Amino acid sequence: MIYRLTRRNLTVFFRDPPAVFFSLLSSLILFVLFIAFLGNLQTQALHDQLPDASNASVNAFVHSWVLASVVMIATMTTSLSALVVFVNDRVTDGFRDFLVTPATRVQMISGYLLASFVVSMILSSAVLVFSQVFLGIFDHAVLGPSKLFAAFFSMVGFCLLFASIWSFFVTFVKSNAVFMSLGTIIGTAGGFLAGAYITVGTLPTGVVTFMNLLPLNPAATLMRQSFTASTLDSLTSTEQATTIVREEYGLNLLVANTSVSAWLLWFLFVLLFAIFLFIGSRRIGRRLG
Amino acid sequence: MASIVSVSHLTKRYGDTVAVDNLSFEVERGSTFAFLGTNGAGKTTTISCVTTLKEATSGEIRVNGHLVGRDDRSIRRSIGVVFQESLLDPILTVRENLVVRASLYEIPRDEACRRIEHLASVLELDEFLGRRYGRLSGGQRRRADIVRALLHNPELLFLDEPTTGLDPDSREKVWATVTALQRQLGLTIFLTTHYMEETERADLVHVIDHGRVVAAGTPSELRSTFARDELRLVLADTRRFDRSFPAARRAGNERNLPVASTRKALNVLADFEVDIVDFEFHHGTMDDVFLNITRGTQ
Repeated sequence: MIYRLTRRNLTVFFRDPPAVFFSLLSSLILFVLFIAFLGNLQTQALHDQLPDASNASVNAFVHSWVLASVVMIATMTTSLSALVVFVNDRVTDGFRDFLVTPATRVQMISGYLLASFVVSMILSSAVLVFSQVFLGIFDHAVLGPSKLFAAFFSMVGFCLLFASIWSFFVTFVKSNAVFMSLGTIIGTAGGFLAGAYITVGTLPTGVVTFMNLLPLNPAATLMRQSFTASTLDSLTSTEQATTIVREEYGLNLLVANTSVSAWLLWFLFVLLFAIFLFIGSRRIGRRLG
Repeated sequence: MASIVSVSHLTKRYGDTVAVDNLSFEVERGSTFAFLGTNGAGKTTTISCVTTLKEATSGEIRVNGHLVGRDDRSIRRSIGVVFQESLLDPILTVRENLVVRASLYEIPRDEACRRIEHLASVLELDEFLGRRYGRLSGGQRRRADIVRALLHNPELLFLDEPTTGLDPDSREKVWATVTALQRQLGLTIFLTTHYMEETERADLVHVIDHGRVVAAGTPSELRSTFARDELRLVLADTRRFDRSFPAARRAGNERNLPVASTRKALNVLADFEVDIVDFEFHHGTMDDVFLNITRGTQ
């Protein structure tokens, strides 16, 4: 039953091409901005800091750095967009048509959450593949198997995490207009809060601490670590330069201003996932009537 | 005949508001049962409780022998619901919508397709199966909703104000379809409506007001109790008539006289034939029944 409900939610979502396009818009805007001019600014700034680094290694690092954020942001925005099916059903009170079938409320809730996760997985995987094609063609910097697996593992984790987080927040949305506004705000603010548009090294400490209290920048950092592991090695040969680049480009794992291990961060993400899954499911259940 | 729905002392409260107040009724298998009432009378709330959508505050509901609140999944397999609003996915085709809904009743895909084709043909929806639900007219959508409600061969079909917002032609088509289906499939129909004339098709009508049943009976019983036939006359000279019927309503040379029967009306027409310029006789309708009952309860 959960499979059938999930399939219905997926069919309804993918049958609406504008919804699919807009779910990836934030990632697309970030990518286009970097190709258009932000990337050049970053490359120039990095060149100034590391005059001995080659053009190719600087470009490869900046591209892998920004594409990591593009993939992470995709997991965030697509999982939210997929919940438009839930919002539409709420607006039209379409739940009733399922509640008079043998489907249970728990199965319906699972259907919405799983659909959000699957949509996010499909679209984010496409973005991940695109990132590798781009890095392969322009920088010859495709991720090695272990780093690609780490990036994919992170992507799966973020898709689950954000699907559970949004499942809670969308229960407060009562109209399509509000949902679209939420999507726009999340898409725009998310990019900044993930440290994707501006490197965290250029931001005031208080702002960075705030960013690291939210899951976005720590998640982006995990993804950046996988994406930039080899390009960072090619970029710098000294420990001191590596440290500076890591701080400047947000490659150190922090919660607030405390340094944490990847394991601890994943543990916190799992905790966050469980909490939001619980309260989100409960609230969706109540909205069903 | 055995009851397929049995409602006993049903009460539904929303905070301090009592939407349904100690309601009891039975619906006989194979019959058409109608709930008549204004918007907000408690019809949809009652239907929501009976169809397991809403939990009753108190009381007991049995559908097809199953207890609501305990055997909900069994109940849902034996009922079909046509909601007041169109609830299928507008972005999917009618066929896709129906296949999805059939899958929720665990009907194998081949069997579902056969049923969809059959029902679509009965409801003259064949040519619209490949069209997006959102692009159908109101009447076509309603017929698609009926197909959806009948996919799993329910014994009991709930129609919650099924013709609201439809043009007269579409309303007639919907009713012709429902009546034919009831004959073919032996369905029990539970109807809620605020269109009085639609209750004429029912075997039993309950008039509901402020969450309570204020009258119940067959349409003819209700008409004979709560509505009277009326004779409208236009007279050349009104003096003799006014002396005989001083209580008749007057408007210029027009007189409206309630009459007990058709025979009585014929007698009046014969007595005043020389004075009559024009006349009209009409039977008491369910509109009169409803207005008389609800005005009486206010």
